[in-house]
Amino acid sequence: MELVVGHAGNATRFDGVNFLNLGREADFEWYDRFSMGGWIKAPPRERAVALLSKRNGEQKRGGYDLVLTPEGRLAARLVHDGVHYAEVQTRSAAQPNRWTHVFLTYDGSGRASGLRLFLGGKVARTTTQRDSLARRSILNGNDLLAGNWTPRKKVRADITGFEGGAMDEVRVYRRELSGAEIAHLAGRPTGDEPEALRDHYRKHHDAAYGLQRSTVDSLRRSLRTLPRVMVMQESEEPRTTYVLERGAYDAPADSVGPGTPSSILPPQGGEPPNRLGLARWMTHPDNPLTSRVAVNRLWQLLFGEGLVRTPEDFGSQGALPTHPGLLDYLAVTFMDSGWDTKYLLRHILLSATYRQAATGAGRDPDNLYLARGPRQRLTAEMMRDGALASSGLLDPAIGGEPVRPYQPAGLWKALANQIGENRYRVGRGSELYRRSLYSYWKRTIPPPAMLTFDAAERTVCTVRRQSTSTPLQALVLLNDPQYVEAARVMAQNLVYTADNPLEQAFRAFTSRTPEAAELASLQQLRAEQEAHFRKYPERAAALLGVGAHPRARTDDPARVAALTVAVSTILNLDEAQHR
Amino acid sequence: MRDPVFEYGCQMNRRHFFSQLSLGIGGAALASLVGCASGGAPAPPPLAGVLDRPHHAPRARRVIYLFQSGGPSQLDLFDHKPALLEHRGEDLPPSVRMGQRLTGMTAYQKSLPLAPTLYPFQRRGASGAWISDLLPHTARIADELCIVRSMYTEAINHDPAITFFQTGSQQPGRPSMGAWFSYGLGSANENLPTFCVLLSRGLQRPQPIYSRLWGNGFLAALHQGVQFRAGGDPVLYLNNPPGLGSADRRRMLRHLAELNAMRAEATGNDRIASRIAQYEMAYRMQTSVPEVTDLSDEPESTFELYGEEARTPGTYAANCLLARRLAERDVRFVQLYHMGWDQHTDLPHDIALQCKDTDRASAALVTDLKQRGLLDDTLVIWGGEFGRTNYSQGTLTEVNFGRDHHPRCFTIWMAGGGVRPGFVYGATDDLGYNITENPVHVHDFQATVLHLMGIEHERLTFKHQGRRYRLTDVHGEVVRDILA
Repeated sequence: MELVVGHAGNATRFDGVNFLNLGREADFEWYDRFSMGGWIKAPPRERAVALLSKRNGEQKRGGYDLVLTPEGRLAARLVHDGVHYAEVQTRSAAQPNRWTHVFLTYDGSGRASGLRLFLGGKVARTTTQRDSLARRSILNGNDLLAGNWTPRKKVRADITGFEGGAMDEVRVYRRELSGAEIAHLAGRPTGDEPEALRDHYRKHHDAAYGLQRSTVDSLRRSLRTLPRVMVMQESEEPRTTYVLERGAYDAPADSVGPGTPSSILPPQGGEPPNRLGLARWMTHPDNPLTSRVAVNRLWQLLFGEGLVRTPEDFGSQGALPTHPGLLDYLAVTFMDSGWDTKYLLRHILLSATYRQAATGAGRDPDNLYLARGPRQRLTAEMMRDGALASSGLLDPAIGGEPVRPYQPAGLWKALANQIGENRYRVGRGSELYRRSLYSYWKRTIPPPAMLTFDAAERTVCTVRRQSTSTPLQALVLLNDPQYVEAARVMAQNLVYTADNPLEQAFRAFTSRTPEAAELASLQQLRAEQEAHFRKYPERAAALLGVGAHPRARTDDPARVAALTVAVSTILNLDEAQHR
Repeated sequence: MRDPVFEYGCQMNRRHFFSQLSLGIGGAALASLVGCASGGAPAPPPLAGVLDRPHHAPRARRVIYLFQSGGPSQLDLFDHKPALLEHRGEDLPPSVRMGQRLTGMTAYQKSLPLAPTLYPFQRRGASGAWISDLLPHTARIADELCIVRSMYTEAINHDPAITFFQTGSQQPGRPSMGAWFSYGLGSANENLPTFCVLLSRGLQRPQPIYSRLWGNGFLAALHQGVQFRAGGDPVLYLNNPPGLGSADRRRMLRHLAELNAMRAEATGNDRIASRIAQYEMAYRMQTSVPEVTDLSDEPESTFELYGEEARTPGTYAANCLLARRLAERDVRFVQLYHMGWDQHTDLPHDIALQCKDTDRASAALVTDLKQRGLLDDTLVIWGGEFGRTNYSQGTLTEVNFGRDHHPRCFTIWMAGGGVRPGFVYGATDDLGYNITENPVHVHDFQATVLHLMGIEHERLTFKHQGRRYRLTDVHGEVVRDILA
């Protein structure tokens, strides 16, 4: 970085490739008021040059920038993406090779009109190039750069680094400066400009104005947290849809229109041929399919297999129901209850059929006659949620943003590069202990521990999962910090409070009291481990350090560590993985 | 001393084994594990596939797929086109392009100037196959290679094209090739995953790839590819938590097996036996994986062959060496991915670097397998997801140009495992744009690889959501001409 004589003292001169990294402080969202600028001295140029830019970095999209056009006009952009952005440009130009004060202020309105540009300490007349940001996010997590548009040596036709240009007295504010303040920064007296003074008074001394402003600010912020609901709207002019020959998108054949299969239920008169009509047709009391398919899925959830064992296929290729009368009874009950899932689940769970013991297979290995209770391996989500619940770590909160539980470091980085987010930021606090339903899911690189337990990849709709057994599952339950931590926290909670911690842990994971021999085996393991950890206290400390949940303060490390190993053993029992 | 694991293992016999085989883990692993002699009877396969036996005698027992991600330029490596030199700079004639759709990267380019390679080609080996000077090591093993110059695909962008090659469908959601082999043939070894995945990259910021490429799709999770990683846990969750040593783990697993065995006895639940075996196999993976990834037992000559980079974990050379070690241990499908072949700009410079990273080790792998007698029943595949255009993306200069994606023709090679060595199959036109002879579709390629492994591609199916699926969808013909 070359230092040259500046407007005041030294200035920085750029070579078109280098830049000053101003860090993450200027991480502004569309609703933030902010101001920035400084003194520049720019040689003539052929392409636009970036003066201040938070556009390109780890992420290639979004952000904002302040650029100088080839004609010397100052331009500011707030960018969500290539379509949604706000851009204004000054009508007048900065003189080349002369120190000029340039500044930008923004009022947090999410509109181009909220951007003001200043040349030489005077507000400049601007033209709006584009005004389509419409309060979309401009956050991108990149650093603010001075003197370049990208931290990488990349070439683009429309923008370049500030080659041969110099900057001095760069300032960034978290508020919208008044014209008078900017004039002051530019060393220009404003005593005789009533408009500038009025603007300054309003922004800094008018209490009523300030109150209104902070109300507006907080309302804008709240837009971000307002729940949003996707609404489908029929277009006025329906787009013609074609059969695509062999599925190729560039080979349209016959055009087709909306309709429903009349073999299931003839179209009901008076229904519009749109989503509403489809929804009413699907849920019509005479439609035999929807409710049966739905209750069959719920039955499958509880019994491992549906009453129709091909839940995805009720057609001619599918299986026939094992209990057609029961299926219809449940389907009608479901509809009559107002499609109340909870009611139906309770109804099934309270039945004598569900409450049978799961032992014995006899002559009906597939349990077609439902003469015994269901037995199935827990799903990936049940396994993790169950371990969290048993250990007391589970945060049962409902809803909200996705969370990021533990994931081995570097997984995303090794594969993803520039596509989407490339850094997995492990969550904090209770985010680590939410139900798996809320875990962030990147479809190109899904959470590996979940996939190992047959969670669906979420690339296509999956109504029935496999249930397999692989050594990798054992490795997850033995070594994944999520499960080691669950065992550790359970151990530290039980070690002093429970009369018989092993028995209690055993019951939590298997729903039964251990036999004497089982308890003896666990006690022996615990005793052996405790002796071992007494000999190597640093190993006990290392094991108790797994996971973000705090350690209990008064614990006896060897004792808790030994119990941790025993609890982890219980968690790995065949019975703990089944229900 | 009474050892329940040992005793339980001894109770296992063949009948038990097959009756207790849940999808995947058999009890046989356990019997062999605790050192119980099996009375001289041949051990049953540790992990059976859905096929009792192959459909026909296999020519290959295992596959090493060196996937060159990004689309290597066939015109600079294998497909020699002197005519391009004569027409250098001329626009690609529409009569040749024949309406081929282009990517957004060159579709709006004013002209499509033909760009000959800057690198000389020579005839190599007794077969006289043309190979560029960019690949001196590959050139030396030309007589081992079966070069297919007439590959073509339907996809024109990376993600769908790689997904197509790996799963037979451009849309994600189907099982990867290695998963199909695991499903069909099961495992041939007891301590390592059936389908192993190794990643490396060339240029700093190449096209990304995705873990779903080695996913199991609708097959059981058992069949998903297991990524071996450089550094840290070589396989995810392989290492014990801090503070817990191997002896602790062994002790814990002993008690776990004891408790599971008690429950099996009390309930008569057969499945618990396979649960015990599952944990034993996990324990053995904790030993066998570090053992296979630890290269310290390799002699100097290995690194002379593969190059010094083979000492650095995570490089392509190290992965090729690791692939050989996995093949030696009968891992059925080793999938390498090397990223960085996507040379839209600066191709002459970048492809030279890319070749430098991959040429020596690719050839070394074939040589090494051969000298160990493994090449006969190991199929090595080298290739990307599509080819590159014969015209320049961006400006064509004396020393520089780029090439866009080209699905209509590209080159892959195979070696060993029942393919014809020293053989070149298929041809393209003088400008290297269209296939003129023996086109090989991606599904044909997949059908052929399945065939070499003893599987008829139309007969390995899985019924899912109402229909039977297979790797080759409803297409594919075995390319019999390239079989040895």
